[in-house]
Amino acid sequence: MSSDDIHFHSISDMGDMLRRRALSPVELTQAHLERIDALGERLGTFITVMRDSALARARELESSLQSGRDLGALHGIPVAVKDIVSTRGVLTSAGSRVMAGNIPEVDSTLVERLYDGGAVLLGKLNLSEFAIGGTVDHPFGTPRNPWNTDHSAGGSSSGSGGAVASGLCAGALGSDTGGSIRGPSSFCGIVGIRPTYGRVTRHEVVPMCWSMDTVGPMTRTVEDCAIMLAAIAGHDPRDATSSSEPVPDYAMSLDEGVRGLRIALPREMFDYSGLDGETSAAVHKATTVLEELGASSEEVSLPMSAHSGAVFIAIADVDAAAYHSDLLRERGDDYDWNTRVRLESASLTPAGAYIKAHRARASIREELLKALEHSDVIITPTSHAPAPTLADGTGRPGGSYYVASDLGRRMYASPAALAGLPALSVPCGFSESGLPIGMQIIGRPFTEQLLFKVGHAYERATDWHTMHPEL
Amino acid sequence: MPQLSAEQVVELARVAGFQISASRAGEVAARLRSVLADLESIDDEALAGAEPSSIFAPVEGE
Repeated sequence: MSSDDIHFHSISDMGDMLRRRALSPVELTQAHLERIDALGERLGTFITVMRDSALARARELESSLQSGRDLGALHGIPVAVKDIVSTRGVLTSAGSRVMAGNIPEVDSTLVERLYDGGAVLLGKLNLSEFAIGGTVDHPFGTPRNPWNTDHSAGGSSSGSGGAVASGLCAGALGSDTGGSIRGPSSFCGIVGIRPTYGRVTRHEVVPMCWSMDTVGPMTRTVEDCAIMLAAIAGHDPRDATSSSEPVPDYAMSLDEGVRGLRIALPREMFDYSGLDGETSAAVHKATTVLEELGASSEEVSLPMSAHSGAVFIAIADVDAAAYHSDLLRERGDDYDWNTRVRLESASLTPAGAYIKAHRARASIREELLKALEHSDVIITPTSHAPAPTLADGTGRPGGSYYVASDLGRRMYASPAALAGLPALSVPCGFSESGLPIGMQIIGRPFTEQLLFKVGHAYERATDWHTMHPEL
Repeated sequence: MPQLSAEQVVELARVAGFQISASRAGEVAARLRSVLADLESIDDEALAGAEPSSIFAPVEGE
């Protein structure tokens, strides 16, 4: 079997092939490494490729499978992680010159759980510096969108989005503080979930904002996303914020359908003047598909969420500025221009504004939870528009992270982050220019299972997830 | 504060113990002005009863 036949299969299909001995873990890993060799540099996806350890691990897993020891749904599956997740003895750079010599002595719990689940770790993925979006100059290469390499893969989990969409790995871990899983998933035409705050450990993950950082999977199908989340979710005594809420079998209810599902459509997010017309149409059409499957929808108003961009920046960037305070003074010139501007700006935020942002945050959470009393999910575009060009995807004047556009466009990703709610992005169409569009499905705390069910029902009724970039 | 100038940003940073170059000061001021103006536009009455929340503890089974 050639690598071309393998690299766009789903995790569940790859797992079936491994168990049927139609494919071995070593062959699967080798095929992905060859594809990374061919495309990785051009797409700017990987910072470190862990070739030797990946092949050694694949050989171990091959032996264990042959002897009847199956570690589960990820057994032999090649995955990769965003380079803010610590890996013992392997560079963990956070995409920054500041941490270019950081070799952790321990693995993150996330890496341990992936290994325990049988995964093969191919390497570490590129990102916006310190998971703060809008990087102008990526020190480890510019992450590109596989659908059009002149366009951004999104931020901050850019390498994760690009690698999964281009078949360089079967699935990846990203992190989402204010949209960093959902945005790249939407831009790259893949599935990604921001889990409920506390659902997934953040042990040994470089922080951006302690009260909003989450880690989650990015995959090509909803089922794969459920498989990966099941592997990493659950209480971790090494992360004080992790929840002891039991982890359900996410894959079990995938096929239950959406009959009776109540959908809320926030008026402010569909009326926003900056919302791209094709994006709006695609998400409305996706909602219609769910209605045809038995769901119902109603318009709701979330007025405070319209301010969520400024509220998010006032909280998350201030948290980040506190974390970087000493480094910024000592090694300011090693930071990217945009990261530095954001952190310096946040460092000067008045205490009164910071507290007002926290009060608004509480109000936004209340507003969302109230909407979710009458509805099961809230559906919005994941992003206000498809992926911008690389030049427009930065914090430079005119770019999507520049102040003029940064606050309004954030109203899609920020509310769930501020409220600690789970949010799933699934592909729901393409622009005329051939760039993917994503639909965001937000739920109550710990309802990831429901979000997967909705996403899976939509996926079965459409074929967006079967489309892959030609590279 | 919404009228914050680049010069004021440089001075505020100096007092806070770090340096912002003139080449970045304008961008820092613009970003800060924009965020503060949006926060100021939130009606205080809309926040009546809302206490500042920094972390929402994961509520089991919520």
